[in-house]
Amino acid sequence: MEYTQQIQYLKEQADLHKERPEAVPFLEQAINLADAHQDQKESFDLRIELIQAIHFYPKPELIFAYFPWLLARCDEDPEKFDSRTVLWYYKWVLEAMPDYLVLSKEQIMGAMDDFERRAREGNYNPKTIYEFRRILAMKLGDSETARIAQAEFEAAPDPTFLDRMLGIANCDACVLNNSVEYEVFLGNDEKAIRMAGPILKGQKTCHSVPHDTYPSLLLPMKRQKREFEAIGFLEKGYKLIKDRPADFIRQAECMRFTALSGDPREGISMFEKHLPNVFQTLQMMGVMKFYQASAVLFSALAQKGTTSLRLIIPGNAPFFREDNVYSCETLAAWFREQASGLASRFDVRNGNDYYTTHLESLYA
Amino acid sequence: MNQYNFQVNLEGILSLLSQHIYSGPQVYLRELLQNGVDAMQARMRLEPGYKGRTTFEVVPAGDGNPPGLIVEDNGIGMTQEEVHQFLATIGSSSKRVLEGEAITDFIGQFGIGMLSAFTVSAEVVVITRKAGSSEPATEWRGRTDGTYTLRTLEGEFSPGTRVYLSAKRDMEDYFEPEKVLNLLRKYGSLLPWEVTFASEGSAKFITGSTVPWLDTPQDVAAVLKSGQLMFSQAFPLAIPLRARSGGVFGVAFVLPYETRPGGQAPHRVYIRRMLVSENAQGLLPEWAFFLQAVVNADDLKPTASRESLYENETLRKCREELGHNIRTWLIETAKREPRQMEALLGIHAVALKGLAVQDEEFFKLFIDLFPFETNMGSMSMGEIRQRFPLIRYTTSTDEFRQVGRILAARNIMLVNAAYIYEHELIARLPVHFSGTDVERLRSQDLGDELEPVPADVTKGAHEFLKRAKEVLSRFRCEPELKQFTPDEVPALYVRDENMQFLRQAEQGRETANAVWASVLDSFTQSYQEAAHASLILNYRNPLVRKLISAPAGPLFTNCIELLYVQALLLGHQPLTSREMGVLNSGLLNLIESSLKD
Repeated sequence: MEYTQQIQYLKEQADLHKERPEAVPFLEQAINLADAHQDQKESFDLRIELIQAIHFYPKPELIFAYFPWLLARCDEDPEKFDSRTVLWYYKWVLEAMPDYLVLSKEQIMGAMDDFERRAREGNYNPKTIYEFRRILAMKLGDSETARIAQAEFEAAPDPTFLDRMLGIANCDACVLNNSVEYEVFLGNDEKAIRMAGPILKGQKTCHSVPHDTYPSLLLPMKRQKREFEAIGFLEKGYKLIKDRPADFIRQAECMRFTALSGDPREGISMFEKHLPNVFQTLQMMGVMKFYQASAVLFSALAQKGTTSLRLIIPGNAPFFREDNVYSCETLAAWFREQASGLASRFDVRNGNDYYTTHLESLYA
Repeated sequence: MNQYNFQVNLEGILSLLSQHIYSGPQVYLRELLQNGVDAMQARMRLEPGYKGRTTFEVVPAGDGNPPGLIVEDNGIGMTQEEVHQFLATIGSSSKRVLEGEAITDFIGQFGIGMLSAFTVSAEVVVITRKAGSSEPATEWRGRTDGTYTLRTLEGEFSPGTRVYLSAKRDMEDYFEPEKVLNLLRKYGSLLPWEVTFASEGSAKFITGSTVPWLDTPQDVAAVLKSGQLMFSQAFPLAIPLRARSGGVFGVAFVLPYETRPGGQAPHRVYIRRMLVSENAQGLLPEWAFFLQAVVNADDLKPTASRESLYENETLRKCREELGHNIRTWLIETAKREPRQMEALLGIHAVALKGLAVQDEEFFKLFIDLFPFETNMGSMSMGEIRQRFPLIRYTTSTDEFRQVGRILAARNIMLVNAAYIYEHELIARLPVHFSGTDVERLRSQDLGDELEPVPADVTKGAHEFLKRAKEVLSRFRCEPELKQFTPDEVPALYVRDENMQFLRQAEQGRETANAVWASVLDSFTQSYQEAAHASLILNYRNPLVRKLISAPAGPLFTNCIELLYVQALLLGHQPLTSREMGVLNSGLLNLIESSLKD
């Protein structure tokens, strides 16, 4: 079989497994084939497909293996390789970077500066630059830098119709969702919920919205004593993200909420479903939040009188038991300690105490 | 203090309806049809034995007038007071809550259906007379500017309602006879009332035809034929659908082509025999993506636009019941009609595998029927289990391709479970079948599956492997010595997914700028320990045998490196710059060496 036919077959298989983890290995094989035959154009297109498919793969760090090659091709031959497309996905990579403890703050900000340089060279609307500076600052626990970025974001001109069609500006739904998350970050619950109105009414949607919005508003809704509505958000939100294996942060938010306001038994199903992937990834931000949510879940169960549970836990879990019976208090303590350890590491990396403080507030 | 009434901007409301609620102006016909049906139903409650009739008559354009439409029903009609209340008061509905009957849709509840007529007609005239009342007929004329007039009519009018519309500019298309006829058939052909369409002296019945899936569901051939007409494709099978929740009655057609998870065929839903949607979501469970359904539901609730299903507890229960319905049919068919099930599996194995993952009973009944790709050809799981008590499987098509043939030569069966649901199904086998064990083959285990070399050879090759390990260490690769056919393959390269990451990262690093080179270095460090790759050398290959006894030195290094690169190429692995350099210089060195000799 000619290599092009093989690639076509692999692409078809990937397409048949669209939005499933099985798609990624097929695309990786196709990329290997294209690279082995030095077919840069095919490799470029396949890597773009792979980056989209990684959304549904349990090891999201894979994006870092494949993305830099795309940038290098655009730098080498801007006529042949579309830099706008690559800048679009640069945003996804940039947003993911703070989630990885293997990366230093300098590396993260280095990539942000690189992105900004490219965006300005391409004459793209600067609002996106400030939006991502704000997102990174939030994830690095730096509220002052986030505030400055927010001010610049507000002052920058809105993207025009052409900016949206031909530029790198996020869609309205994402921009609004990101602004909602900023307000949640600041602790402005009421404002966040109000701003999210168009999303919650279904007027603004995209591939990430309201998937991201519902989980991020669960705690704010609870704090605003709107638990009944939040239960509806939990149902809708979890349904949207439950089959996104790498969406640990949203899964954690849903799981935590079941412990605080919903049905902890639902939380147990979520815990069992997502834990295997948590042990496989390098995305420590997701791992930390999942661990913290697990601590809350098992604490809540213990407080409600459930001393032990039969659970399906992967064999490589440090606390794995052959009899599959686990003490809720022991699990709660283990997860709390692990989450706390990770929070400290993030704080050392970021140079502040945001995560240690933030995690403590989530136990309250 | 003065009291005022809220003012309603009719144009604003119409804009809201047309932009945010209705899918298009054509829905005015459905709303008028619904009003007629409601009026006839209301009259039937008062007069059992009454025969309801509604007529739609298109009046062609002429004498400078635009085309028009007259809708006449012999339903309950309205008194003048009711006209004031229900036609001229936005938000007030004539759909009364009678004993045991609830208002089941938002538009009916809020009485805004009639407004849809104003999307196509600048003026709407209604002449109505209440059945069972001595009150004379009333004429109501409403305009889009929000004004209306009301007068009592002299003369005899039969009970019922007549609605007169006249096309607005640019809305003439919606009065085109063929279009009106088709839309009426689309929305109302199932209605249990006499509905006719008239135009230029001729009349056609909209209703009254037999609908096989509804009226004669036992006639499978007729049902399949009706499905073909409805959806413009032939279906191989039809599954009856019944659910108490929602009062659902219908059929699900098995699609004649393979479909993928996440897709949803457009289901057609009627509510109380009026078409609500040709693309209803949420009717069937997610795993039923291989079916396309048409149903009538008496108790499901439409959304505000009356064009899709409202997600509530009734719909959820209905969906569960229909899921159970379909599962039961599949199970019964597998028992009684194995050929039909075989045909179904031939097209929809993926869908049925998805169901088996979720449903234990279904898994136990169907797993043995599912086909799987193996290195010994496609086999059903039943055959696999019968022949191989230990089922080895890989989740990588790449690995399957590389080693499948080699393992087959040793009569070791390997299943390619890289496809959706397959490794989940296989992993469950030991839980349900005591005589079946499964083993996932990872790349680092592949060497163990190949035939070992004799003990004396292992001893003699110890130095060789030590030297080879040194040569290969810079490529993060471990040598192993095994024997396998075909003999002419000197070596196989196998790696795990972590090594795939490292190789891609290395490739990316070659051309990355400083920022990204640094990022890749950080990830590479994290993956180093976990990554695994082996070069499995084939003792049956003459060149490998010679190498085992070759002395250490540049030639030995050259040969091992070239075998490594050759194995990469055989395995369709792209070469890094370093490996490309090894290939170029290695070949040149060999040529030089041969020329010297």
